[in-house]
Order: sequence, then structure tokens, then C-alpha cells
Amino acid sequence: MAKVDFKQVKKSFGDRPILKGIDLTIGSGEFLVLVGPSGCGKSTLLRLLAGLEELTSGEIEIGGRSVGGLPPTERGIAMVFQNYALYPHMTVRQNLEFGLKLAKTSEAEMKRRVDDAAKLLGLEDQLSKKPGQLSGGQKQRVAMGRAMVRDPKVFLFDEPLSNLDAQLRVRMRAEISLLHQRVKSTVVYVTHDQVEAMTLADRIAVMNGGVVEQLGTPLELYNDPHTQFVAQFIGTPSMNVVPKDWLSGAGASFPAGAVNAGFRPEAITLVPSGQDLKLGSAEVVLVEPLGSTNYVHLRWNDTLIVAEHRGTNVKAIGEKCDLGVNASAVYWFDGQGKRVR
Amino acid sequence: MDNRRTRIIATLLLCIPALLHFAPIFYLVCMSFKVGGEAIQYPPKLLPEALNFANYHAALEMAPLTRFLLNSVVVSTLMMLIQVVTSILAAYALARIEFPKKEWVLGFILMTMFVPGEVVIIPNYFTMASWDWLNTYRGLIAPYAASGFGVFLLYQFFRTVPKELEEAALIDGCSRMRFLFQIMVPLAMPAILAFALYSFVNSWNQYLWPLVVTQSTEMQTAQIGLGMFRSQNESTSWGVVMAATTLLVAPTVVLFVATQKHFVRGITMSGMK
Amino acid sequence: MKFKGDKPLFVGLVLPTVAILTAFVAYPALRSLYLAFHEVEPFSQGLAYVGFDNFKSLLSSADFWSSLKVSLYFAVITVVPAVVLSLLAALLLDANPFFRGLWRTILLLPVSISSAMAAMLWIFLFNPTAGYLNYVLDVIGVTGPNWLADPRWAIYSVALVTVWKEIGFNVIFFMAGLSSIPKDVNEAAWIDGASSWRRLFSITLPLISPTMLFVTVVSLINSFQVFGQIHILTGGGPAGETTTLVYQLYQDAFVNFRTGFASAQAVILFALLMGATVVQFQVAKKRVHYG
Repeated sequence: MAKVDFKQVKKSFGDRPILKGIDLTIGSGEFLVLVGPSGCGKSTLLRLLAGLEELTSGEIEIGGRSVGGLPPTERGIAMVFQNYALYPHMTVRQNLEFGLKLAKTSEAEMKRRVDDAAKLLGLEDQLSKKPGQLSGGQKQRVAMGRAMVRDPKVFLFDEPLSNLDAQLRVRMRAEISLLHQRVKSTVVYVTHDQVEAMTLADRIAVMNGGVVEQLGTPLELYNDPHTQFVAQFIGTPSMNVVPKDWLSGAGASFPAGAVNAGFRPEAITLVPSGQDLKLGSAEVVLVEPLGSTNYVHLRWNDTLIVAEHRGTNVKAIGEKCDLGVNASAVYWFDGQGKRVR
Repeated sequence: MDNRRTRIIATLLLCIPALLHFAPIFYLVCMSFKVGGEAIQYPPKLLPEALNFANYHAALEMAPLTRFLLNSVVVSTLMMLIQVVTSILAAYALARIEFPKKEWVLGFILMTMFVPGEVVIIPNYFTMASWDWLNTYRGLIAPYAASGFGVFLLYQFFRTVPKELEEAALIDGCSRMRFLFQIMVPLAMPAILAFALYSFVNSWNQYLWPLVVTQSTEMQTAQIGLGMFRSQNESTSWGVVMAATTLLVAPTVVLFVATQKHFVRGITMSGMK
Repeated sequence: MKFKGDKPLFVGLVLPTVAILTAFVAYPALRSLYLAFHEVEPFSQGLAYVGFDNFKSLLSSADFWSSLKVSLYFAVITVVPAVVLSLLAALLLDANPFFRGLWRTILLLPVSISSAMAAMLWIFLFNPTAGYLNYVLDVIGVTGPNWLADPRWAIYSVALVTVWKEIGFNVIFFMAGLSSIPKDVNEAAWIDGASSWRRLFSITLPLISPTMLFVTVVSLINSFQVFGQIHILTGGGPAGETTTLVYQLYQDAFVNFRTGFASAQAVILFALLMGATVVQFQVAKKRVHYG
């Protein structure tokens, strides 16, 4: 367990800046998720922390100690890779032992740690198999086990679940959560999947274009996004954003500087009640029934928006309906995408 | 997609090239058993009258074939081992280590593949003479201790091994060299075996260089030894020449047949295409 | 990934290869270039700078032009069959025939035989009276030519041996290329209603075009460098009909001892090979589908 500090971290590849000065402190034992679209620099930040890339400028501290010049193995970190990176020609046990052997750990200690990790991850029966004989989920567990036996101060995860099918992903997500509760290590977790971020994180750092757009708990990001990017990135389906004028007919009052208006699918009502802003009529284009709820795609003023509609009285495709939106659930953004209140 | 009909047609069509490829070799072996006028009678018979080893005895008496074979085995084995090691080291560095202008190094190595072998023989002969390495195993091997083809083949393969594997190993505390020999080399074994076989066969089949650099009979390799039979073409019976040829061809053919599976797999896996 | 100590490590790892290739390939090649501008003086054995004289006399030498012509013709009649036939064989092997391993083994067999040994073997097959080749032709009612001694047939005889020897090597690479074509691409085309022929020409061949390029380049380079077969089968004859550039070079260097003259030919040979490769890669840029 250790805290991690990024101080003015910059990284460029050639002339191309990837990270433009990151300041970020991750508390001891915290589960922090770095999330953002591809190319936003989240993986690079993780790899800098791991020591797999060299800093262009700035400083990284783990447990208060600068790790700038340290090779990966001396930083007290362990990493789980997207493609697992298991040694294909070694058995599961050999994979787990490899790092410990290199660190000249005693046989007894090695056996204890490997057996503990295998037990925790339910891998006892797989120890003599090779990675090629394992399922995706089992490989994922071995990769996690290899990280655990190192007993690291910080766990790094680089999109560890993106190679798994949807069902397995949900299960492994829960397992990672439980694992964190048990080992209480600091975790830095990179993903592009905001659902994964929301469900796993103590705090989320949303990255875009080489900077941290916003840092906060999942609910803070959801309820109080500081930018249009964060507002649209967090939450599925994505927040609807339209020009503010489209709401003026409904009598909305908007703050100075506002250019766009955003409202989440669940803020829309298809049967407006008294205090809702009345947006007028829209045509149903597509209905996605999910059982407990429905996503209704609507054409409104020549743009497509999505509404979440609970209940069974769903309109049919082609039907018109009156839109309403909860006035307090409308977010306003300026021309640069900054939130205005 | 492969129905029975296409499989049968493909099989039948393959019989033609297979026959054309196999017949000359079969003919060679048959000839080696023909004694006396049997070899030159007309119309020629394909099969010998009996498995007569007289030609083999005669061939072994005429020239120190076992010594030639021993020389070829020693030279080819050493050349293959050295080429494999130098190629692994260079291919790994080029595939995985960042170095300014390293594409120039790769380019240089690839360029050497275009230099015709005949062009380098004369200067190399003088180099060997000035080092006093003529007529030695060293002299036979040294100019071929590195292989541009080997570096290229293994470079291609090493680049297909996921980078994360090396990163995971580094986090585990593994040094670059340890990673190369404990993880990369075992993974690249098919490609390395393919190259080893190619290198061995190539070295076994070398002709001009051993001809130039060896001076005494006891240093000559199998290819050069065969020349002794060719120069005595007139007086030697065909059967004896064929027996000698069979003896000198056999080691590589047997080796190749036994290992060609690995060769094909190695080339396939190296992504060389 | 970058680490401290990477630079010295890189140098240490490539050094053996680079040093050996420099000493025994690059240096001799440059030495040939140097010699191409010099002539060995007959008595002192010293070198005299002669400028472009060697190249000039080369360009006015009928032997040189004849050998260049022979080399180019030889390249055409070996590369085209070697590439086409090996591609056909690889396609047949890819069609999952019965006894696949056996066919593959037989096709690869000649790869393991040296050109010297292959030539020895074929000399007897080519023998016009006692050789089996003409006997077989005779049986089917064709009078076989005097293969190696007939100026019209000698080059085809050498080409036949060369193609026989080279095909196996190409087959390996084509098989590797074919096996790397994802099955689903072909299946998608099949579902789209493409016939077998259509699939071959629209899917398979474009997708293995990188292999074709590689095989063609290698075959071309090899065909220019063929030596052992010619040396043993024809000795460049009859009437210079099989004297290729490399064989002429060998004659001038080792038989006539015209070192500078031979080196000038070596330079031209090298330039030709490089040029041919560059041209092929340029053509390939437009025609070859990678990925």
C-alpha cells in the first residue's frame, strides 16, 4: 500500500505531445480508474508509472519516493496486461513463480505465496497446465495471480477485461472488486469502458487529449460533470446535447454564456407532467427494449436523441409523442464545452 | 469447403510433379547399384539386377569419403551453430531495442544478401591467406559466421512476439538477455530450427569457397571430394560415381526429410511472406 | 520501451553479425568496386588506376553483352516456371489432398541437394544415348535432343535442373503465405457466391501477393547467381550459349586472371540485382496487398 503522486508529468513521442502536464494524487489503498477514449494518454500514464516508458519531464512518486530512474522491477508495482502476457511455454505455476525466482525468493516462501494466490483465485487445479489450455477468464486470473505474488505496493491494470466476453467481464469485474477489498492495495486501472470505471472505482480520472478533464467519485462525475466531454462520456446511453435555442420555446431560462443544452436519456419523459419543460413533438425511430427499461430513439428537430422510458406503454415506431424534460436535469455548456451554471 | 472431389483431383494432379521430382533421385540410387555394362546398356533398365554394393566399396576405396563426410559434418555443424547464435543476438537487438538509425543497420545486413557469393571469394581468399587460415576449419567457417537471411528471418519472428510479454518479464525483474534466452528463444524455436536446418544444408552444399580455401585432401568437404570422381569421369564407371554421389547426398536428404516439418512450420510461423 | 544500458547492449548484440558481414561481404564488395577501376600490372603485380577503362572495354566486349543476354534470358526461363509451378503445387497442397505430407516431402527433396550434386545426377539423365530422359521420350515416340551439347537446348537443360532444384524452396514460402489467409475471408466470398476460380483470382492470389513478391525477388537473385549447375553441366558452352554473367565473371577472374575486368562485371551484376529488386518493390507498392 502506498500513495502515488504525479507531478507535472509530461510525455511526448517525438514532436507529438501525449501527456500535457498531469497532476494527480492517488491515495494509499485507493482504487483509481483512468478512463478516456483511445489516444487520450491513459495507457501512457500507466506505463510511465510502471517504468515501461521514460518521462519527458515531471516527477512520479510512489510512497513518497521518486521513481524516475528506477527500473520497473524496483518500483514495487505489478501489472496486469490486456492480452495477459503469460509466458506460453511455462505452466501456470512457473508463470506465477518466475518473478519470485528472479528475486531469489526461498522455495518455501515461493510455494506459500503461489499456493495462496492460486487458492484466492481458484486456480489450484490449473497449476500444472500451460496458458494455451486455459479459458480467457482463467488466463485473466493467472495474470492477476502473477501480479499478486509480487505483493506490490501498487497494482496496475491495463484494460484487463477487454478481451473477455460480456458475461465474463461482469464476473471478473466483481472479482477484481472483491480482490481489492481483500488485499487493500493501491490500484491504478486503465479502461475505455465507462461502465467498468463506474462500477470499480473509488475515484475516476476522465482523460481527454493528454489532460485530466475531471477527477472525482463516480457519482460526482455523473451528477456534476464539469465539461460537456465528461457529461457525454459518463453514463449510457450518452447524454443528449442540442443547441440551447431548441429549448427556448419551452420557456427554459439559460445562464449567460450557454451555447448548448444537455440532458440525460432518463431526464426525458414521453408523457410530460406539469413542471417539465415541454419540448414539443418527436417521432419514434427505434425502440430497444431491455426488459426493465426501454431506450427510445427519437427524431426531434432533425436530430436523433435517446430517451429512457420505464414501463410497458411504449410507442410504436413511426408514432409521434410529446417530449418533456425535467428542468433541473438540464446542463448548460459554453462554446468551449465548459459547464456554465 | 474441401469436398472429396477436390481432394481427389488435387491428389491426382500432385502425382505429376511428385513423379518428376522423385524420379531423378530414384534413378540416382538405382544407378549406384548397377555394375559393369549394366549402367550403359540400351535400352536402359531403371531397376538394377541386384542390390550390388560393389560400387560403394569401389567409391570408398577410391577416395577418403568418410573423411570428406566428417569434414562436412564438422564444418556444417559449427557454421550452423555460430550462424544461429549471431543471428539470434542481432535479430533480437534489431527487433526489440531502440537505437538511433537502427534501420540503417538492418538495411546494411539486408544489403549483404544481394552481394553475389562469387564476388567476395577472391578478396576473402587473400584475407584468409594473410591470417594464415587457409586449409583450416576456421578458414572454412569464418566468412559464413553471420547470415543476413538468418537475421532477417528471426527479426520477422521476434517482432510477432507481443511486446507485453517482455514488459511483464521486466516487471518480474528479468533482464533483457535473460528474457531473450529464457522466453524469446523457446518461443521462437520453430523459426530457429527452420533457420538451423537451412543453414546446415546451405553450408553442406557450399562449393566454390571450400574449393578455393582447402588445399589438402584431408581438409576437403563432401562437395569438393565429389570433384575427384568427376575429374576421373572417363575411367570411372558411372555406377561408382553414382554410389559416391548417393553417399554424399544422403546425409542432407535424410536430415531434411526427418526435419522438414519443423522447417515448414518455422517459415510459416515467422510470418515471412 | 527504453532502458539504461540499452545502447551498449544493442551494439554488443549486433556487433558479431555486423563485423563478420563487414569483413567478409561488405569489404570484399567494396574491394571489387575498387578493383573495377584498376588493372593488375602483369610483372610487378601492382595495381594501376585505369579509371573507367575496365567498364569501357566491358561495354565494347561482345562476350559481356552475350553473357548479359544469356543471364536475362536464363532469368526469364527459370523464374517464371519456378514461381508459377511452385504456386500451383502449393495451391494443390493447400487443397488438402490425400497423403499431403508425402507430396510435400517429395517436392522439397531437391532443396537438400547441392547444385553440384544435382548437376552430377542430371548429367547422366541428359546423356543422349544411355540417359533415361531420351529413352523415355523415345518410348513415347519423340526423338530427344542432344541436351547439353546442342546450342539450342543447353540453356533449357540448365534451366530444367535449376527449376527442379528451386521449386521446393518456393513451395514452402507459398504454403506459409496460403496458410496465413484467414479462413473466414474465403468463406465470406463463398457465401457471396464466388466460384472456386473467382475466389482464387479475387481473394487468394491478391492476399498472397506479398509472398509472390518475396519469392520472385529471391528467385530472380538466385537465377542471376547460378553457378554450380553451369560449371558442371556445360562449362558455359556450347558456343557460350550458357555463359551467364556470373560464369563469365568467374572465367575472367579465375581462368583469365583479369581481376579488374572481372570486378567491373561484379559491380554491374550487383547494380543489376539491386535495381531489379528496387523496381520490383516499386511495382509491388501498387500491386501488393499487405495486411
